[in-house]
Amino acid sequence: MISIQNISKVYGTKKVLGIEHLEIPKGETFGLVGNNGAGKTTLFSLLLDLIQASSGFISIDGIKVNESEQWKTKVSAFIDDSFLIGYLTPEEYFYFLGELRGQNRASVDEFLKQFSDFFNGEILNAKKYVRDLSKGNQKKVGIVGALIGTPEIIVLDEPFANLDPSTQIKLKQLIKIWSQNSNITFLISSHDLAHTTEVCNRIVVLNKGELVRDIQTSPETLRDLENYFAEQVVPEFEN
Amino acid sequence: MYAKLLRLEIKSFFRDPRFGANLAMKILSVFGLVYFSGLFIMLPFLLYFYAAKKIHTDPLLLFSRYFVYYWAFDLVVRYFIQQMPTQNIKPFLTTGLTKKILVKYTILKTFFSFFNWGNLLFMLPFAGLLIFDGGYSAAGVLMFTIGILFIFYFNNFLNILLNGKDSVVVAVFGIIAVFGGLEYFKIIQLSRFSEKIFYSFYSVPGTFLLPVVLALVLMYLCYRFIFENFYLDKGLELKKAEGKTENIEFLNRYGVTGTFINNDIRLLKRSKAARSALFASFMFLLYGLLVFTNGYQNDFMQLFAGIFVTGGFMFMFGQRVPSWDSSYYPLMMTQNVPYKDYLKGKWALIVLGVSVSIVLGLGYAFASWELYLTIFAAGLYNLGVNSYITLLAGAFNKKPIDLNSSSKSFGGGGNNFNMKIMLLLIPQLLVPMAVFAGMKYFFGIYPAVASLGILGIIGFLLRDKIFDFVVKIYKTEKYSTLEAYKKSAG
Repeated sequence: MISIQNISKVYGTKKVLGIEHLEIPKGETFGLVGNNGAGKTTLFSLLLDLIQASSGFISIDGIKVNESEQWKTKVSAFIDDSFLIGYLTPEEYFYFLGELRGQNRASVDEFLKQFSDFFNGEILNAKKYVRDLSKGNQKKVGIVGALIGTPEIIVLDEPFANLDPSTQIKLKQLIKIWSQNSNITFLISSHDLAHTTEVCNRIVVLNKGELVRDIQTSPETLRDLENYFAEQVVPEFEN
Repeated sequence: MYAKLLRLEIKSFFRDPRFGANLAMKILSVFGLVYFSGLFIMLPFLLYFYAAKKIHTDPLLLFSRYFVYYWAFDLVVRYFIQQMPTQNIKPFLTTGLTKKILVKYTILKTFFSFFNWGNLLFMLPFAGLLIFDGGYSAAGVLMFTIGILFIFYFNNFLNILLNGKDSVVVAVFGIIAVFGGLEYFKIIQLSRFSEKIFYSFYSVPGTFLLPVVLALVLMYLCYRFIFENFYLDKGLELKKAEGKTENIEFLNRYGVTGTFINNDIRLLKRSKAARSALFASFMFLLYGLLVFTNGYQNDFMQLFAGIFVTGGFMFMFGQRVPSWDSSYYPLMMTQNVPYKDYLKGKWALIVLGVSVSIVLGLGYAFASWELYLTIFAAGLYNLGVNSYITLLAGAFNKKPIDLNSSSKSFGGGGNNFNMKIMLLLIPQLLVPMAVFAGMKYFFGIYPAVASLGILGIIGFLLRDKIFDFVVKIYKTEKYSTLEAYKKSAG
């Protein structure tokens, strides 16, 4: 479904991303892990055609994302707070996204019902604008916003960061249940190896812009990954 | 200790993003500052010579008579614009400074606010004129000046105590406005009392101490008030507006365009930057008053004024599409947004803004029917032609807008004036000015109005072409726009 061919992104003389080939089939829950600067957000931004590739291309269902806007009907994303509209209430934000995706208010309301537990009573009817919500609650709004209209491809950048422990668990449940639907493909990036291995059935590790591991998740995956990152650390602190 | 804090203050002043932009912006802001200071310094001369030479009244008496209205005006303006002095104090709370010092420093800081020393730009030349030209007693004028100065300090502290009490300020404004009306119809003349009270600062030695004492009392109350509220969840927290989900139902009939219009109305209501743009567009309505000055006694310049009278909102809002959506531009770029509908939404708002201005501009009909016809013609041109060209100019404008700050919206952050935007001023301003003046010269006022109307209709017919063109620009400029918006966010 998603096909990445020879993609690279170069800033000045610095190559921040270079992936030769990567296929993400439909229905996969795809996890992207790596340290800061590994190129996770760059890859997502290329997928969403927010930045221009230095070479290569990404295509969704055979159509290059930088040539046609067809993909916009299939993909939704929450990358960072530039995907939130601060002066709206959460409801207005959801309705806005819903209307852009061809949903009316009633169906958005109906859709939001399932998230009452996830929202913990702090988001709907809270009489607050999105800009005045806490970071964690903003994140919840952004994530649920990306789910509205049940898009085929859902891209979430660092969805677990800033969330409280209970919400992290709820989010993992949510992703697991949603990913049982074979029409939905998740792309999730995270620093947290445990969360990623728990929800994703495939994990790709990026390091300094390069693909270094591509594994189908198994019970040993977490230990593997931890060992991998431990090896990368050079001892430098002394007592 | 205070010196160290003060040094930080100076840094914060010079590193303000308003100054930071670039050299051209710096020169512009300095120029603006000098210009306004110049205006302030000019005013006392105007007042003094107008009173003394033209209407042969005691300038001091004239000043005192209407000062009560200025007092109310000053209070209201302060309330809405002057920043609370507590806003930058948060980082110091956990340092080794005692609370007392911090509160005192906070209060001390207000003495350096432009709202306080700015008045001296008026008062000092005024006092000088009274003493050296009018032969008033120097001691009396000095007492008077001190008295008035402390009235401004009184306002300064009153403003702090009133923080968040909208109703009180609106009431003060309402009462004074009512008195102003009564004054106009000579029913109750507040100015009589005003004259007696303020003039006594000069004439009765010692009375000037009254505002001094009042200001000091309020200062103490402020000290207590700030001291007690010196917590993050009390006085130091910016008040958050209560969020209310709103929707103008009938707009839903217009599909996605309606959704966008609904959103923009919320933007105008809830974002500081958008609100001040709205306020500025009201101020443009007054631009027509310039017609009564010397440079505007020809058809060219009258139409020029007309374009700004009816186009205030268009320029303040339309020129900055899509920058209004800069803070969530990546979201817009990943949604299945039909760009034509997006533009139509903005266009509908601009049309509404111009139409309202044309109606409000009727006020000028009282002055001269011909002037109103000129404004009306300019309005037609704005509706039919400029509304599109403004959106086109906006497409080249890549300065993001910080929706939560009001300062930037007054051009402080700077629009990037590039050649393309400058070139677009030709069809925006010069073409209608030339057509109108030419037609009027040869055929008279009504054909001149009609000619701009016809141009408007032509523009309206070409609208889809222009929208398509703007959409094309949006698409080709997409990556660089995204990058430009991102830079300032980080």
